Amino acid sequence: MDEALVERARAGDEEAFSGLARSVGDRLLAIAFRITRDLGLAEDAVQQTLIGAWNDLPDLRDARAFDAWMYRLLVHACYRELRRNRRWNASVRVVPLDGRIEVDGAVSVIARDQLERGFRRLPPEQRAVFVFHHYLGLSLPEVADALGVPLGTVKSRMHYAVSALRASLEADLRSPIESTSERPA
Amino acid sequence: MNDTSDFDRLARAWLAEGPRELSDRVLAEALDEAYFRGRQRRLGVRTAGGQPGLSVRARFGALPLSVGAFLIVAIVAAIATAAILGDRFASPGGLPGQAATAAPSDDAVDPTGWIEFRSDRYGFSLSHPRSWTLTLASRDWVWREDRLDWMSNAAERFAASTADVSFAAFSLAADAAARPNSLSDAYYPQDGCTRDLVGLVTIDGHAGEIYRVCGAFQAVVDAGARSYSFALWRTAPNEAMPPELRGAGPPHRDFLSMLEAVLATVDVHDPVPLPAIDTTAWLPYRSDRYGFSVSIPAGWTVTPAERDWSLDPDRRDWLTPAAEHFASPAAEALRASAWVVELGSGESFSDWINDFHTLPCPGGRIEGAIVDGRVGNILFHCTYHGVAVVGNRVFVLAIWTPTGEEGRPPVGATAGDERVLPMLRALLSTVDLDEP
Repeated sequence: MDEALVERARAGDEEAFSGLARSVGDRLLAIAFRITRDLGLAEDAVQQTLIGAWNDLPDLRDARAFDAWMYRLLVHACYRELRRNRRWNASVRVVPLDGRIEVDGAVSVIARDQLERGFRRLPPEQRAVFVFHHYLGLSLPEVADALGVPLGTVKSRMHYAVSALRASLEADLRSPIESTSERPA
Repeated sequence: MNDTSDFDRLARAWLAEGPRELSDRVLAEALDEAYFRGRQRRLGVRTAGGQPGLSVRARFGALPLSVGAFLIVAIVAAIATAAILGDRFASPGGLPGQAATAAPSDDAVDPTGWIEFRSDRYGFSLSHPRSWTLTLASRDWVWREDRLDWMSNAAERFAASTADVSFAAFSLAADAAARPNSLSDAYYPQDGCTRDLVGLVTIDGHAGEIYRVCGAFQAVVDAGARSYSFALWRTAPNEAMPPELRGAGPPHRDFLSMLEAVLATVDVHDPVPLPAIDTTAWLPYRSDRYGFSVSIPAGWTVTPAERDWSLDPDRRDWLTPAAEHFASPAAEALRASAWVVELGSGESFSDWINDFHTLPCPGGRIEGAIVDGRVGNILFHCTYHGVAVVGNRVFVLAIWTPTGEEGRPPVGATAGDERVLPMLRALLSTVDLDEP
């Protein structure tokens, strides 16, 4: 991240902030989508993040922490979007097929759907930890640092998330997919 | 599925799927919203529009009519309360530079870091967000033809670079505008538009009003010898129609906040005459046929008139051989023509000009002009004309940019480019008219 650009944006330079937004926008959307599993919610979360970042940027003390700071704003925006939409976010695409999970090569249609269903049952906080670790490739201490939560909390969330997803995969392997009436996220 | 590495690989492959690119539209909306609102005051009360979790698209959507009506009622009630309590809102003696409306917005926009703009033509300065781009007025605002034109090039115009916000400002001599109320009464009087008083305002210490007109917010104020208009509205792409005539709902309250913020930065001053063109090195040309002389810039070419000018057919022929023609070098692309015509028996100048202005072009008086010591006028009819009456003779000097068909003015244009009017003023200043 260009620290000079951050400093200029912090001082009120809209052009500099636009440059920053363009440079992080794709990454923010990718993360937001993987947490929310909904493009509309992800876009709204990114917009809220950018608006909040412009507003609060004067409070950022260390320009080098810009990326981590943006991640944290984004995660909280995702939490808000997910909780705001929890009542009507229950539908999950059902693929009426039976078969094995193919762990070699690309993710099978069945596995993708099972993971999708399992992930949508996770609380937002567990989703964020899972995405930061498995998508961004951060170690658990790095996830703790990025999200601003204790390492023990991160480990706990990761444990529950992985357990729930593995259970979802294994349960779905044992019984055919029947309905979409699972508890909303 | 008992192997952790298998699960990790599966999870990573699944997470790798999905969008990776933020659309330009989403980015532009976010940036526009951020810059439009400016950096919020930390201790301010946020309105519903600023609540977390409400999407930018939702907030910029049409405000429900009932909510809009409620806002108007609330604002009017606030005005009444302010008047009763005698507080600052209705006071014309506010502090210079302070904008105070009857319904101060909770979402006050912070003008920190804005760019200052000074309009010498209209006698004001203001600050605007950096994301706004400016288009300078190319001529003076004229009542008859500009009051219906939202995109008139007679106003100093600003547009947000990433979105659909327009802002326009101009001023008129008070005798031309009458009072500010009448400026708003007659501004944008299209059928189907509503007009509501939104609040009172002080602009640089002068009392004025903010109206909602045709779905725009317009502030009008009388300051010294001039009346000023500052209008903000939401623009549709490639669409000059005012919001209400496009079927758009009431303007979003954020627009009022933005207008308030801009007004708070306004300073008014006397207009500064635009720098005149130096004519001292120009070359004189004498028209014996019409009895006048005029100086033209070096490098311009002259085509003398071949016959006398008459209303028909010459009023429809910009390149008529009955006029003295002057043309700048091709790269500068200006053309002018001049002629003199005698009024008929019992014919007044008004009669003649009404007969002359029959082409389907906007028309009106631009400003007064002194032509060889006589009071004349600069009129607009398809392009600019300087006219002066000497006895029963009418002197006409027309100038245009030859961007229309065969070197004619562009059809239906409301004005030429910004070089035209100053050049006409300069040409008129060199004219000598023979005595009748």
